[in-house]
Amino acid sequence: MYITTDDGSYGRKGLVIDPLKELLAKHKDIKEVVAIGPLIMMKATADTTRSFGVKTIVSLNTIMVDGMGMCGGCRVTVAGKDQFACVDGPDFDAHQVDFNELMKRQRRFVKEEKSSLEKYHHECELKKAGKI
Amino acid sequence: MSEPKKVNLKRVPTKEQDPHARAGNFNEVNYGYDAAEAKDEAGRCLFCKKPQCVIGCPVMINIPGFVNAISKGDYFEAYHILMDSNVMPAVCGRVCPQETQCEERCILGKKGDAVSVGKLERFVGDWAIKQGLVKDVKPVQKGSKKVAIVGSGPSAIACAHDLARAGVDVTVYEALHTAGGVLKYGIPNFRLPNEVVDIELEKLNKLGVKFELNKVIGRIFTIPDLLGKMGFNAVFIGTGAGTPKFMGIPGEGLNGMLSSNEFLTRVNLMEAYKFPNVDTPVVVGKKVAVVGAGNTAMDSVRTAKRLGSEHAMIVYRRTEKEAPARIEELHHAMEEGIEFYWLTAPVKINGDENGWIKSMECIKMELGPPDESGRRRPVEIKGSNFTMDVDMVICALGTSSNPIVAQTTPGLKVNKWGYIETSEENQMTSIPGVFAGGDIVTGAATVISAMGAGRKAAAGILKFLGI
Repeated sequence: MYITTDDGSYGRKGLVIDPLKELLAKHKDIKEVVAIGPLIMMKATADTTRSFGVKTIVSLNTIMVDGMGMCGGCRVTVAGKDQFACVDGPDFDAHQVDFNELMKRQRRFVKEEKSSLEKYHHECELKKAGKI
Repeated sequence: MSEPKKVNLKRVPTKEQDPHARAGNFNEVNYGYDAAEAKDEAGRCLFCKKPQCVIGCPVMINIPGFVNAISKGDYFEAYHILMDSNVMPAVCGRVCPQETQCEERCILGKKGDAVSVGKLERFVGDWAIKQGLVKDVKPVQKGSKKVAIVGSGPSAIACAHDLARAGVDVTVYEALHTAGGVLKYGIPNFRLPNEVVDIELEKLNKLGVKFELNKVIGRIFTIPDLLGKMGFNAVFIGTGAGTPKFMGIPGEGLNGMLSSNEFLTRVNLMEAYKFPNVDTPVVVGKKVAVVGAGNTAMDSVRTAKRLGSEHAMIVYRRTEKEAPARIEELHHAMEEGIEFYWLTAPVKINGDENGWIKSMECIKMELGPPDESGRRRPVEIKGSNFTMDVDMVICALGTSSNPIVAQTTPGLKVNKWGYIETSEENQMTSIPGVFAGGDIVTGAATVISAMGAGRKAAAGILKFLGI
């Protein structure tokens, strides 16, 4: 197992793609890479493996309402086609996913996420102070 | 014999919330009849010997029977006549397209206004709710047969009701956290309040129907699981309308582009208008274009208006005449200040650098000769492109079949569009003991036609089980 952390507090300091690049260079027999995690990591992984020509699968967890094909909120462009991550995925060929569009789509509730978090913290403070 | 009664050609109108006021709230638009109004309206019925209205009703309600009971002031009797054919009169009285069903065939309609069957049905349904009659529903002694119902929308409710009344042990599997299907997530409160749906559903609870919520069949269990190790004797699939259709034009991945399903589910079911006091947000544009002109399009555009859109617009490639929405819904939308762009088709959606919609390019259309659906085909007028200033686009273009159940049920036959094939006679699918009905069989249709299919399937299931 190769562990990396951004600040080096555990394992190796750096990004996932650092050991990945080394491994791909060293082991020419690696047939497939699977990436599951934050979009930016999956995008970086896809960009890394593309140059090595290694098949890569990403598991997308896009914003969904119902998660069973009804809302279409989770749609993502894969190989130029509109796909629903919930019923057509969630696993897709990483080299076909339009990550640039997807990363913008994942930011569509940033403002609301922030206000929700603030409200949560505010209520926590009130609870701690015994006010609610 | 009594004197031949004088025919009154004029319908008793219902009171409605003021258009200006209601465009800013989610309260019901139509107030329905009070007792005196209902009695007057019921008195207009000719009680035909061969009632055409009944033939126009997908569940064959004894319409003259219940209308006659109203005219005599016997609402209890009226309610029981309705309940024989329709478990949800307060729902269907509100959302059925009566003008193309029972009311279209009413003899009075030839010379004047048809009897307002829908509003009378709603009156009885609401009266029963006010009287608390739901509480009086008694559980039926269960026999040894178990049936699983997949989904909890109109077809599932109708099927579950008929089966439970016949003593079948019924379990409903619902994917969402609450039962009701499209009645809950789709139809807005200003047309059908969610509490009306909940009260009507309570009848099933009282009858002894079990609800298993948050269970997606095809994921947590499959149809073969239900029939196999879980011991159900038959299954009814009523999973409803499926995945939303988009236009397939450039820019549909932009932020601010939603399906009507997503928009309405966020608002109706998840109550996103209360955000941040609820967890689900919705971002509503100032200039919202809803593409399509069916009931769902009207629901979406009127919801956007209620959430503060300054310009809530319908964009439709045909004309008002071809719009599939109920006339009543179109009129309500017009009264509320919705803007209509008829004979207009989107060709491209433009975004800003952050991926949000900033405008939509459209082209003007004209009507050519009729297509296979019998409606005149819209044809582009070359060079008529123009750009609309919008920051949100909602697609209300209907749905395609949801693939989850079919993908996970070997041997289940579907047609080329992915809808489940069933027998005309009893709604049975290609798998013995597995029945289906509603939108997953027919494609998008009405609440009442789904209920009709659910009832037909229930009869088929009872026969299959030898009950």
